[in-house]
Amino acid sequence: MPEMTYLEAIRAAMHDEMEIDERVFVMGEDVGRQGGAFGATKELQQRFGELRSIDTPVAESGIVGVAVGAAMAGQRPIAEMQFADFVSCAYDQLITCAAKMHYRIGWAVPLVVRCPNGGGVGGGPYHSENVEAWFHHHAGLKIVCPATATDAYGLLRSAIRDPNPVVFCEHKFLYRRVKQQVATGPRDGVLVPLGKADVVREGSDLSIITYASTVQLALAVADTLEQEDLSVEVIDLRTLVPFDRDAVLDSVRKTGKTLIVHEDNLTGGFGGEVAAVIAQDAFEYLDAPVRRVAALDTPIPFAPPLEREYLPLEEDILSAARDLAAY
Amino acid sequence: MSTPARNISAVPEPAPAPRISDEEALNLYYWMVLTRATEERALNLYRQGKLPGSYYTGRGQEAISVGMAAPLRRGADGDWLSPWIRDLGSYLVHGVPVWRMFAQFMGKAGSTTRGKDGNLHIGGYEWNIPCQVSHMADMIPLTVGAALAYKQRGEDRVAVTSFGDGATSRGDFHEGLNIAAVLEVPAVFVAENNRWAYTTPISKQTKVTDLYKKALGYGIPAIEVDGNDVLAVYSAMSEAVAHCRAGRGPRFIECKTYRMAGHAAHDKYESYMPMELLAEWSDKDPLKRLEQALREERTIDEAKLEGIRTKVKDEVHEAVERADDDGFADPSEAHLGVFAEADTDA
Repeated sequence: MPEMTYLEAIRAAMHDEMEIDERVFVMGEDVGRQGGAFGATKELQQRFGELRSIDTPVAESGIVGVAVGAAMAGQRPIAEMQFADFVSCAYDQLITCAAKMHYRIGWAVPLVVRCPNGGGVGGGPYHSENVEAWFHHHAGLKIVCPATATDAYGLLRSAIRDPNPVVFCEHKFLYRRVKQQVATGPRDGVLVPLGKADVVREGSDLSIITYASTVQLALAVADTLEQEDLSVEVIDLRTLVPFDRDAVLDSVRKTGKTLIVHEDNLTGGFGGEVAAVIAQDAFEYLDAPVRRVAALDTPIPFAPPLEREYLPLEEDILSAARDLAAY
Repeated sequence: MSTPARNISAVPEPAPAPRISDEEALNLYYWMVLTRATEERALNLYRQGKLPGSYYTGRGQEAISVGMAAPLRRGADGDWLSPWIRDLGSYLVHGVPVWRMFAQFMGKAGSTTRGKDGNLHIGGYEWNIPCQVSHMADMIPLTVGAALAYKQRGEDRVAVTSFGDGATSRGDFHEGLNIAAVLEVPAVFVAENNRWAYTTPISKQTKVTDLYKKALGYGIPAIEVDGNDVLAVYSAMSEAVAHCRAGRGPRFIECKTYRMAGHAAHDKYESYMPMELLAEWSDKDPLKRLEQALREERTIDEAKLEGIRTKVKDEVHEAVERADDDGFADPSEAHLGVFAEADTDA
């Protein structure tokens, strides 16, 4: 098994699906000759030609709208947003056309919109946004947020095969920082199902429910607290829609204490939904109030000291976990 | 009586369209009569309080809705057709049964959306009609995407969409046309310039009131036709479709017409529409014009036309009865269908 980065895993997933399914193609700004701003589609045009790796005009709404139409006409498009932030321009196409088409007429829209998501890279307010919470409110869109290279590969392959529109939030801070041996290959590469959370570390005193970039931070916190004789369970949600409620509730019923962590802003973030589900369905098991650690409710600032102030850091999670353990 | 289509673009002048046979002309007449009769009946039902929501008509625009759909191939493997709110005739020509139109307006189970959406938000995989949305111009990029799929697979199918002058103000119009031109996909864009977007006249919508000029700006061959002349629309559309099937990229047709009523049935258009203009366009009524052409230029027997009108009357009557008898979907269906389980469970 080759060791590869999160970014290489994303490229491999698209490559392998394109090898076995000629309906699959990629489109977006600079994805063809250049292979994308980050190199996620590198050499796909050379391998599969200009009709399956399409450089488009700078027009995110048009790109997603075209992808919806191609999906309905029998193709399997993967539309790349150069940065997740720009999906705001395509918001209408996603919620108006993609999300509601099947509900209205039973016509599937098998589409993936890849969104290089998140901060920590000095990108400033328009190249660092976490967009997952913009979409989970709308019925009809699946939302995937991988944290590891294997999940990036296996979830993307499942997303491409899924008959529904999927917003694939790949975290660009993880692109080159996360590496793993990944079982790839057109026919025998690993598939990770959508809707199944991963218990990445078992524990008994406290549950940290998280996804994407903050999974690694939660694991580091669990290591630290182990030295303090605290056993922390870490749940990686992997997909927000479908949401694996059972995995969350099982963990909370076991530990009685929950810390929800995400890099996205606190208010209106997916953590609020997780907290509400726990409050309703695991209330009797709680030994402490559910706590959340998330980013500030501000735009994402540019300068490194300001960005660090904005982001949830390992020490923020550690401090909240200690408070919760002591409650 | 036909106003010849004027080709403005740099592409070579197309070969003159073959003469439309009497049989074809009578077929167009049937669809136009059916379109108008369906709309008139639906409007009555609306006024009787039998249709929830509002009701939108395309009165005066039947030549476009019928003329643009008639040259297309029907069925799931046929051409993609995404008509807008004024184009009830397009849905009929492209295969949607009349009774299902009434069921749609009533929100019944026989509606193409099983009551989940209303009015002309009609669609289905079996007809290759995607379900339009209320947001103007959204269906333009989708249509470009369908055309791209056909091009990728090397099929000689075309994707067609229509929209009003108001839609040309939205970004998706411009993004969609631009992408279609760059990717050279087999898409036909039909602009229906009826001079009104709800209460706003075209002079306040755009400084470029000849909409075909916008398409030329994107490098798409474009023409304007008399939108109240079904034979002109049909000829222009036939030529555009042939151009697309031959792999020569997108086409744009602007149909000049006039909206003969309010935006919707609830709209008190008398308060803002100049009545003299309405009267002027009333004389150009597309149905009257076709009847005149059939009688005078083609010397078709009035009895034949009367036969078509009688047939339509019976069809509409039966359709309303069937829709009336149809039930509503069980309320439990409101929970279903958010996600697809398989590729196409339509």
